[in-house]
Order: sequence, then structure tokens, then C-alpha cells
Amino acid sequence: MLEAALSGLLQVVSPSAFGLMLIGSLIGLVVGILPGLGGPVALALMLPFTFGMTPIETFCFLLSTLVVTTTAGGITSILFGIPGEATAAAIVLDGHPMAKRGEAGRAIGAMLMASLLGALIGALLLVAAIPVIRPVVLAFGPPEFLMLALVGLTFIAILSDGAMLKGLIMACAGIMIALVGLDPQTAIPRYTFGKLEMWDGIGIVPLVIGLFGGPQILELMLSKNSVATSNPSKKVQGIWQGFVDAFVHWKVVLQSGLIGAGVGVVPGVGGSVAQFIAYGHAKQNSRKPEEFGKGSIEGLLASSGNNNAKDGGALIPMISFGLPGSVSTAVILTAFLIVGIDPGPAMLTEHLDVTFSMIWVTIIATIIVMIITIPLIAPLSRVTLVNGPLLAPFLLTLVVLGAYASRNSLFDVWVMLAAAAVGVICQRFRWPVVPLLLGVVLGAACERYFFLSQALFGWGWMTRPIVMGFWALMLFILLRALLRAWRSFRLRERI
Amino acid sequence: MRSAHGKRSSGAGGTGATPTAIATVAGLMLVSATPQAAQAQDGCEFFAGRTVELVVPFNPGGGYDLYGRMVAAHMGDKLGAENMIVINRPGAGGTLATNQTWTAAPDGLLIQLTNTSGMLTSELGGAPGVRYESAGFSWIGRVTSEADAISVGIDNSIGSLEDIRTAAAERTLRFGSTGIGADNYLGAQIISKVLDVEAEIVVGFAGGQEVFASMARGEVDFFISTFGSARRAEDAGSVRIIGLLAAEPNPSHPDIEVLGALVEDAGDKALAGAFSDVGFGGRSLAAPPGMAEDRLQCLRDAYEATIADPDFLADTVERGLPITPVDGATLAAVIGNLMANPPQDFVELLREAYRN
Repeated sequence: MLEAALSGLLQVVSPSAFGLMLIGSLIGLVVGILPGLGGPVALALMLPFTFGMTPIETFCFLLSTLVVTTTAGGITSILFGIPGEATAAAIVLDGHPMAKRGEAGRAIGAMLMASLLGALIGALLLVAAIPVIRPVVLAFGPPEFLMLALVGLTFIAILSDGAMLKGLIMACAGIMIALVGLDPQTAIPRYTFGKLEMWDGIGIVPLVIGLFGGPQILELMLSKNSVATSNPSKKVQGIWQGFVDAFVHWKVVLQSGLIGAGVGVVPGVGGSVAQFIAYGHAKQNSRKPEEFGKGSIEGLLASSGNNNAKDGGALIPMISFGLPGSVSTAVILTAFLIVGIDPGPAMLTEHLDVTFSMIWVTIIATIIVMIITIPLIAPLSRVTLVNGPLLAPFLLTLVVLGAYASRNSLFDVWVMLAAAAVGVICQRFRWPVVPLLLGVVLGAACERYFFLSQALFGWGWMTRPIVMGFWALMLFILLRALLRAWRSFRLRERI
Repeated sequence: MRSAHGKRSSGAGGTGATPTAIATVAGLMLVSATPQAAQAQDGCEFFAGRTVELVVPFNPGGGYDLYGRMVAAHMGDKLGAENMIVINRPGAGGTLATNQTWTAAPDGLLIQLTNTSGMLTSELGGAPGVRYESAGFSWIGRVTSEADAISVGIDNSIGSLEDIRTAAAERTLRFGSTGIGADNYLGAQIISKVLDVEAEIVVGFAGGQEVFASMARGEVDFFISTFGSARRAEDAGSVRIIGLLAAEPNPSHPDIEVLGALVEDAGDKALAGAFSDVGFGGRSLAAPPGMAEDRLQCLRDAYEATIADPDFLADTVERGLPITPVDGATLAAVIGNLMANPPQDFVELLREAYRN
């Protein structure tokens, strides 16, 4: 295994492969920063250039883009409060308040370093899993995916900012939104109002952009202020402070990375949910949970640490079974076909060096994006000082384009606008938005996996060993959250 | 409006039409009275300096997207167009894009790579949301068509098509499917009917890959898919290919058993064959209905030139995307016949699937 690792590394740092990684990272940086303009389209456009490349060169080119996209999405989340990617939504929760305080540099630095550490954790997990990949992936069937989705839903209890009833209502609303579209079992259109565009459901990308972006842009338009309401004293030095933060709070980053890698293994559910599970877990275990959502460095680290870790995790089912976790990884899967390698046992035996090269790419590409971003942080943070009304039209254009570009559909732009309206109302009346997002992402997964589990196992799925483990976990999380809520209620009563 | 005023005032004055105006109008009338002549003259030159959109009804990175981009890279030049670009328009399993192409202007600036079997079966079965008529499209040509393979889980006791009947007597067999109306669902229905076995079709899987993984775990027995994806799953160690869903042996895969070989009844044989008949169209290029003859001929000629181009053929080899082209006229004829005289058993099966 060591020779394969070394061979993979050597091939990755060869001039041609490294050069391709640089180009891929640059592309990923631009695509990630622009909200909505997603990985899949960029990757598909890059595919034709890979014909004729060696397998390792192909993966250097494509994987670096994928990895950097998720990291770079955090930059827009911090600076503007608009997620650059759906997987960077949780970064907004604490990253943007930090930018408003004038700590944009520190936030970006912390986010980058946490992403790098997360990438390392994901890579380590992948390496550790290589001997046991196939049996592990085979042990996870629809019942286990269902439980993972349900565990994600229990985090609503933690992420409702103390207003648990409101959180539950929003989660229910999210699940209702997830129900829109064709019923997966009987193909009956639900809540589609006769519009074909709604058959595939409400897109997550326009939803996220609108929910988070709407209130931000409106605030910028109405206030005469810039994003940063207090003057940052030393912007550039903030980055190093951010780097140090990631190491000071290493436990948060480690746990977030492990959660990201673990959840990333689940196809389909992984990306958008891992960030909230990591965030919720950090909040539950923090000594200062009340700071979460107001610019807590722990919150930012937790939401960033899982980003690249989940990419590593998502590679596990893809390499071993060709099971893609998302549209982006599906494009990478196509790259497999183009280079003529089939995902499967061969990837763990004769093509082990290719597998290792993929691991190296995730790490090196994250380092590259860190190095590229450092000189950019100072000018980028200065954007937060630009006058709000000047910035708003530019952001508005970006956001509309992003919503359209995900499926070349004007309908998605309307979805984005509706979501923006909802986001504004929620912010005004202090209703938490994260449970809504969780409900949308997990609702569809829960329904599909529930019916599949029933069809395949009857009610017997509930007593499978891993499933029982998840039941215990859910109970544990709920009890802790309830205990905490009860304690703070008692405290308030005494006062 | 303004120019008309101008003409009147620059002429002999007064309210009558000036000689210039009369000449212009007469000239216009002459030109518009001979539309064929005018169009034949600018026929393929129409495309010069213009961008043609090739709509792919699925997400980027998938099989359709790859073929679409490969064709677009070469066909634009053959057409004399400035550009041919791919637009991904996923939704409703391809029906969204097909509906939009059906109502688009037939000027040749919009063409689509179609999931032909999906189009035909949706229309024949009366699926909701269908707003087109397959036979009415302006067919440009077929790009490729693949056989449909029947695969079984790697650890499954069923080793061949013959074993299916015996296994069915012992337990309920299970097909995996991505949804009612999908090719894999219809294929499962056909096999059950033709082999006269009771089988459960488990729907709700998110995609073929999920079904293959489920088969590797032993949760479902069978899956109908394109030969290519079945072969890849076989190489990944998840499944075994045990047959093709066709009436007659397939020349590209002569050593693989076909379903049709197991049945004697003519009706059953026809049903086994109906699927591959409908699949004849495979992935094809189509344009909106009502296109002028010569405009369509431009597109067809450009396509013929593309598939004869050695650079394009080299591309197909390099990208691992084989083509099995058929010209537009033949394609249109086959589809027209099929829609006019579909096998009744098959139509009943389709209607039953969509009747929910």
C-alpha cells in the first residue's frame, strides 16, 4: 500500500499533473465564489479537455475543481452572507456576522485552515477505509440511509436557536416543500399545479441562494452601510489569526471533519446535511453555545471543517461501487469511464495508485487554494467596506444568474425570489431558517428510503444492528437537547 | 411607420402612394409570393453567423450530455453555423425539454438529443404531461442505440434466463426500478408477462447505480439497463449480465441469450421485441415540427457529414462513445410506423403503468 501511496504522490506532483491541478483550482475558485454557478456545469465543460489525458491527469484536473469549489463557496458566504455553494450555507451563520464585525480576514483564514484540516481527515479516513471499503458500503442499505437522514432531522432540535416549536414548524414546512414533485413510488405529481417544471421538485440551489441571499441583499439595499459595520483594524493579519484559531480549537475541527467524512459516505444525503450536523454537534458541545449564530469562531470552524472531509468521504462509495453522491461526483464518475477505468475492486488493487492520487489531489488542491487566496483576502475584505446600495445590484445579478444557471430554467429564478421573500419574513419575525433547509433536503431522502426499506424488508428494517445504533444516537441527541432546554427554562424561572 | 411617412413626403406630395412605394410593395409581394424560391436560395446559408442550440434533456456529465457535446463539437462546422452549443434542460425525465422543443420555432436554430424510447413509451402510454407527438418531430438522424441488458446480483442463485421460471416457483422475485414509466420498469413488466412469473417491482431508487449497489447487497434480483451500464456494474463486481431484452439475437453481442429465445408464443415474442423496437430510436437528433423541407435537409446533410468525418470518428473512439447512426428519413419512417401501429399488448402494458 505504501508504494501505491508514493507512486500516486509522485504522479500527482509531476509537472503536467500539477499544472492541471493549478488550472483546476483556479477554475474551482471562480466557480465556487459565484453563487449558484455550480460545480456540475463547470465540470461537464471541462470534461472534453480530459480526453487524451492519463487517468491521474484527469483526476488532478477535475477533482481539484470539485474540492476547491466547495472551499471557495465559503468565501462568498463569509463576505456577503450568500452561500457560494449549497454546501457552504452553514458557513454563513457565523462567518458573515464575523465579517460584519470587521473580522472578514480572520473568518476566511479560519475557514481555509479548517477546510485543509478537514481534507486531511477525510483523506485519512479514506486510506483507513481502503481494506474495509466494500463490506462497509455493502452494510449500508436504505434503512441505514433513512436513519442517517432521521438523525439529521433531530439536529433541528439543536439548531432552532432555542425556539424549538418554531424550528419544528419550519422543519415541517421544509418537508412539505420536499414533497413537491413526482411521488417516487407511484409517479403521481404532487403539488405541481400542472407545471412540468415542478415535477422534479423545488431545486435546492435556488432555495438556498434565495433564503440566505434575500435578507442580505435587502439589508444592503435598505441600510446605507457597507457589509462591515465596524472598521477592521488589521485586515491582513486577521488571516493568520484565523489560521491559529483553527489549531486552538482543534477538537471542533477534528469532530467536524469526522462527521463530514462519515456523512459524506452516504450517497445523495451527504453534502448539504453534513454541515448542519457538524454545526449542531459543535453547538451542543460548546461551552458558549449562545454565541453560535452571532459570530462564534467555533461555529465557523465546525461549518468549514466538514467541507472537504465530505469530499473524501464521498469518494469511498464512488471508488468502490461507482455510486455517486451528487451531480458533481456523477460527473467525476463519467471521467472514470472516459479514462477507461471502472470503479470497483480494481481501484483497490491494481489501480490503487490512482485511488491514492485522488486522495493527494484533495489535500494538495486545498493547499493551493489557500495559497492563492491569501493575497486575495485583503482586497476581498475591502469589498465588505463598499457601500451597501452600490454592492446590492451586483449581488442581485449574481444571485439571479446563479439561480438560473443550475438548470437553465427561468422557473428556478422565481423559486429563488419566493425563497428570498420567505427568508426576509423569517428574519423579520425571528423564525429560524436552518430547520426549513434541513426539512427540504432530508424530507425527500426520508420518504424515499422509508418506502424502499419497507418494500425490501417489511418492518424488519428497524431491528438491523446499525439501525439500532442510530436509534440510540437519536435518543441521545434528543435527550441532551431537551435537558439543556429544560435547564435554561428552570434558570429563567428562578430569575 | 416613420419610413412610410418619409416616402410619402419625399414623393410627389399628397396622400397617394408614390411610385417608389408602389415599387417597394410590389417587390415585397413578389418576394413573399415565392417563399420556396427565396428559402431555397438562402437554405443552408441561413446558418452562417448564427448559433444553434442543442438541447440535452438531462444533467451535465451523463451519457446524453457526453454524446450531445461530442456531436455539437463537430456538427456546427458542417452546418456552417458560427457555433453549436449544448444547453442542459433536465426535468420530468426528459419530457420537459421535449415539450419545449415541440413548441419551438422550426427555424433550425434549436435541435434536441432525444431519449427516444422514453418519448415514445410516454406518449403511447398516455403519460401525464406529454404535450407532443413523437411522429411529428423533424427527425435529423440517430446517433446511437444500445441493447438493453438483464442483469442479476452477483451472489444471486439465478444464473441464466432459464433459471428465472424455476426460481419464481420458490420465492417472489424482485426487480429494481427507478420509477413507474422508466425503461427499467417497463422492461420488468415485459419479462414478468412474457415468462409468466409473478414478480415484485421495487421502485424509488434514485438511479441505476443505487439499484446495482442494492443488487450487490442481495436486496433485489434483477435490473434492466443499457448494456453499457450493466457491463460497467459487472466490472465493478456488483452484477452479472444474464440476457438481453430482445426478440432476436443481437449482432453486437452474439453470445448473450435473448429473452425472445425462451418463448414460443408469437404474441409474447412480439412483446419481447416491442421493447427493442421502441429502443430503435436510441439517442437521436430531432428538431421542432413543421420545418421547411430544405432547412431539414441542411440539418440532415450536416449530420451525415459529421458521422463521415474522420476527426469525429476518432473522437468517438477516444471518448469511448460508440455510434450506430441511422439517417433521418429512415428514422422518421420507423417512428411513424411504430406510432401508427404499435403492438397492442405493449400499449396496454404502458397504459396500465401510467394509469395510476
